[in-house]
Amino acid sequence: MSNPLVIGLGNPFRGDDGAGWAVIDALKGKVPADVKLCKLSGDIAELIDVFANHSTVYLIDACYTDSLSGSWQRIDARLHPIPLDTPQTSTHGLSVSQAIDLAKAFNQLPAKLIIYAISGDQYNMCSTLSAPVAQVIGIVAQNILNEEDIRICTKKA
Amino acid sequence: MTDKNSDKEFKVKVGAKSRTIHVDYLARVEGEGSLYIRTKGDRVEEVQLKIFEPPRFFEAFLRGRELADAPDITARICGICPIAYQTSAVNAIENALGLNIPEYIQQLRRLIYCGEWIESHTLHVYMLHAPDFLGYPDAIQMAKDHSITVKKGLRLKKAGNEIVRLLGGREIHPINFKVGGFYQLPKKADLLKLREHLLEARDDAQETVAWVNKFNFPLLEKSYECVALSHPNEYPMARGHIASSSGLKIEVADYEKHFEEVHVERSTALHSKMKNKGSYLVGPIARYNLAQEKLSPIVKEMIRTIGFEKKCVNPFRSIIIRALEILYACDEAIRIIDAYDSEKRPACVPIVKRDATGFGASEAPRGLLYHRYHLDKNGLIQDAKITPPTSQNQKTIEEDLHDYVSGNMSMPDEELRWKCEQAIRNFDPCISCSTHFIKLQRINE
Repeated sequence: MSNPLVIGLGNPFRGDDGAGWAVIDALKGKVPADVKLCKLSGDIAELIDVFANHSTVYLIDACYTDSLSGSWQRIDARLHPIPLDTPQTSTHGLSVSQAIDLAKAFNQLPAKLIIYAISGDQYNMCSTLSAPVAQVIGIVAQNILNEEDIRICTKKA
Repeated sequence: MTDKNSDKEFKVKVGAKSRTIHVDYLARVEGEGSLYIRTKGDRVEEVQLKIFEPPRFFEAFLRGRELADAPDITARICGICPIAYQTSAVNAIENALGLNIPEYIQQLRRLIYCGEWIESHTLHVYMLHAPDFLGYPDAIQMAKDHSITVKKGLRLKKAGNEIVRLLGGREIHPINFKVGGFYQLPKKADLLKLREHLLEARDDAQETVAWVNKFNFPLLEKSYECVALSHPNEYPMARGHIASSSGLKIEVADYEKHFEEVHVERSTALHSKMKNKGSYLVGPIARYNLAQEKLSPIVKEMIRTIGFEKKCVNPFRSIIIRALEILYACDEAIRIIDAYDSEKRPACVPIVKRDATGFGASEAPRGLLYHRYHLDKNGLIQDAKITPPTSQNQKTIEEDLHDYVSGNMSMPDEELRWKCEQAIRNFDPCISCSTHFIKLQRINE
């Protein structure tokens, strides 16, 4: 069983898309060494390799929803399908949901894959989060710290 | 791979002697387009590849910008072929400035271009086109039955990503390209680490060729006017002049004397044609038919092994050439890495701004990509023209559809629709690349 991995996904130069990276920054220094933190952007297909090498993964990403900006959801990706991007914006890259579906097809989805999806509303070119999203970064980070696997690692440390 | 199928409206009207095939939203092509075919009796009356993606005005964005901005702005035209846009842009601007780019920089540009070919071709072969041949609606469904194969495709694409990331700074919209060279040259030690992955990728690419060669290919024979870059020593990629199968040999600067773009009502992308000739083909088939003797020995050996034809006339077999070009790009990347000894040399040559017009071209994965820029004495772009490969292939795509439907009138509608979409995907069209320009005409009454 590998150590838990927490992935922040997104682009910190596109407003609220930087939410995943911001949560990783908020977790730095608060998780034991056994918990790996990483920031990813670029080709989402490379998530599939990451999934193959870890049994417990927490993935934090910004999302579009009908909910208010700054609201967030915890989704168990093994139990609930992740909605496709609507509309699909490009065939030139995979979406997170497609990467998860492919990992499922390869039978290499982590035993535990939890997604924290944070609703944003401004994705223009800037390196700051909107106020509603910035306000929930600490709350999402705390929820991750409260996850059982993370607490077990913390106790061991 | 996309879920556009769910949005697709597939209409078939069967009258006494006519039928209409209308696909409102093409899946597994980049961008927004649709297909309309109307037949009457035994004749195809009308074929329209409609492109309705809004124009993106990149040529207008470039006006008034510094020449140094061109490679970074044009890279944003496409997420899968930014290197092609950057290469054509710097080729054109360096032509305007009269720069002589050292060979070691040219070789590194070819190396990063190899990375892009691997990324783009692999994505198309495995995720967008192979499902057509194997009867799946998308790559995810295909992966359920062919997981080892699709994993191989993702591994190959990752090797392409690694090349672009190392030389370009990141795999999507890389940032290390500049007029005159690069911002920073790679270290030999880092390239050698990459080489290990490329050896595996080359094996994967050979297996890819063997895999796609086993597909069943719909019958269609075409006599294309092929157009591609030509270089005395290199398979067409990052430099050269322009050649065609009917014997045209011109400098890139003369492109607009021989090719023209016209606006057709059904498309927000301009249609290109060869003056006094009409449609032509750019892309893998054109490159292969015009320059296969420049492929490396390992690729030529593969061609012999699978018994692939000297001249490809069936557009459905373009997937085999894409696979051969993936193999070539892996092999060529290894060759360039082995020869590299320039990490301590200057990363770029100095530039002197001047009032001039420059012309540049390179071979995007989908085919010839032409750029022209007029610069003022301060290095500001006064005018820009960009002709992407999908614009150049639009007319040929429609002609292929016409010919395929004409020869298969008895085919059931659903199967015919599938094959028509497959025929469009033969070209790996990037509609988003092609819709960057529109002419606005003011009519005074």
